[in-house]
Amino acid sequence: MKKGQIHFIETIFVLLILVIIIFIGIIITYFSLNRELSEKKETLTTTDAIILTDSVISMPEFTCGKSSNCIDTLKIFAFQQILQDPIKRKYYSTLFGKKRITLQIIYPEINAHFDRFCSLNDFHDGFSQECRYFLLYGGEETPDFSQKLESSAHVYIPSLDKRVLGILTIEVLQ
Amino acid sequence: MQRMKRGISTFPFLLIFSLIAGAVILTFFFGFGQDLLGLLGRYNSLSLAKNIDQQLAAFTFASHAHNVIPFGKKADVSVSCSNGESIISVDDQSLPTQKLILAPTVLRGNSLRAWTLSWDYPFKVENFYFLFDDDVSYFFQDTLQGKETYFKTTFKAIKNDISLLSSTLPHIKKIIVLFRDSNVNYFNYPHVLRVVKIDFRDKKILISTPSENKEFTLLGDPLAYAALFTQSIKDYECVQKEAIERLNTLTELHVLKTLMLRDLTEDSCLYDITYLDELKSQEQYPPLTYPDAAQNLEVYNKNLELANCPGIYLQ
Repeated sequence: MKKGQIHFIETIFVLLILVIIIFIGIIITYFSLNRELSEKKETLTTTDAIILTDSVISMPEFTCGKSSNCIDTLKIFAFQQILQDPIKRKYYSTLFGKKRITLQIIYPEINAHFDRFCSLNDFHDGFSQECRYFLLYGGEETPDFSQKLESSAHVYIPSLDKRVLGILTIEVLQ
Repeated sequence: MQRMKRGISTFPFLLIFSLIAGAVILTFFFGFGQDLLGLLGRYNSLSLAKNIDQQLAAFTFASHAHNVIPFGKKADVSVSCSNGESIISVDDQSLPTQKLILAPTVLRGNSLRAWTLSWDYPFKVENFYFLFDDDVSYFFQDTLQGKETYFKTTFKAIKNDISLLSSTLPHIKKIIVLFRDSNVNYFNYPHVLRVVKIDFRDKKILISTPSENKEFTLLGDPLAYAALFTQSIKDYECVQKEAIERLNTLTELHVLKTLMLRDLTEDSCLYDITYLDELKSQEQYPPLTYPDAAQNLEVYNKNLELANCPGIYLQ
C-alpha cells in the first residue's frame, strides 16, 4: 500500500472516531436533558398537587363560604351530579388532571366497620355516622398513585349546621 | 489492493474530503447548538409562564390579595383570552390556563405585580387575577361620590400611580376612568389607550378604544376592575363570558344543594330556587337581569339564616 493511501485511510479512521465521539456526546446530552425534563415534570406535578390541596378547599364548588379551610358536604354531592355533564366534566378533568380527591372524616371517630363512601342517604335524619369517606373527584376504586398529599379540613354538614374534622387527600395517579 | 498510478497525488482529494467533512460537521454542530439554545429558551419561557400560573394559584385562597412575582430574568409577559381560556404568553411561548387573568399591556421587566379579587355574586364564583406594572397610569374623573370613592380608594391601594383628570395629562400610556358622561374626547390626547366608563347606578360599563366601543352589564366590582385591566374589548368580552359560564355552573350547583336542603331539613324552612333560576343562563346577552337576581338571592339567603334555616350559601 502506498504512503498516500495509508494517510488517506488514517484520515478516514480519525474522522470515523470523531463522528463516534460526537454521537456518544449527543446521546449523553439527550439522555441527561431527558432526565432533567423528567425531574422537572415530577417537580411540577408535585407543586401542582400541593397547590391543588390548598386551592380545592377554597374552590367555590366545595367551600363552605368565605370561612377558610372548610368543605361543604352537600356541595360534594351536588358536584358529583354536575360532573355528569360531559362539557363540565371536561373542564374539571383539565383543572384536576390525573388525580383523585377524597375527604375522610377523622373526628368524631367513625366505627372502622363503616369504611365506605358517604351518600346523601346518610344525611337523612341527621348524620348516620355509618360512612367515612367523600369522593370529590375521580373513581371510588383505590388507584395506583405515585404521590399522596394530605391536608386537614373542616367538613360542614349544612342540614345540621355542624362541622366535623376531616382530611383531604389528593392522589396523583401514575 | 489496487495501486495508484505514479504521479497522482492524493493530497487534493484529501483536502476536498476534509473540507466537505469539516463543513458537514460544522453545520451539524451549529444546527444542534442552535436547536439546543432555542429549546432552552422555549423551556425557560414556558417554565416562567408555569411559574406565574402556579404563583397565582397559590393565592387562590385569598379573596383580596396582592403580590410581586419576580421572574429572575427580563421577559415580556402578556395575557390574552381565547375560547374561554386565558393564555399567559412569555416571549413567544404560551400557556393556556383556566384562571380569569387580565393585564392592561405587555408587561416588560424582571417582575410583575399581581392582584387577586374574589367574585362573589352573591356566592363565591371565581377569583379574578390582574397582572400589571408601572407602565400604564390611570386617570380618574375628579368629582366622585359614594360607591365611586370606595372603588377608587380600593384601586389606589393596589395601583399607586393614579391621578385626577384635572391634572396635566403627561406623555405616558394612560387609561381614563369615568363615572359620568364627559364632553371631552380623550383620544385627542396622546397615549390614551382606553376610556372606561363605569355607571354604578345603571350597572353598566362602557369600554372605548380609538377604533371601537362596547357596553357591558356590570356584574359586580371585580368585573369593573377587570374593565380597567383588560388589554382589549375582545379580551374583556371573552373573560366576562367565561365568568358567566362559571356563574352558571355554580348556580346549578347551588340549585342542586337547595333541593337537597329542602329534602333534609324541616318543613318550616322554605327553600325556593326561583332566584337561582333567574341567575342561570339567559338567551339575551348581556344578562340584564343578573344584578337584580343576585341582589334578591342575597336578601333571600339572609332571611333563611334569620329564620334559623341553613343558608343556600354561607357568608
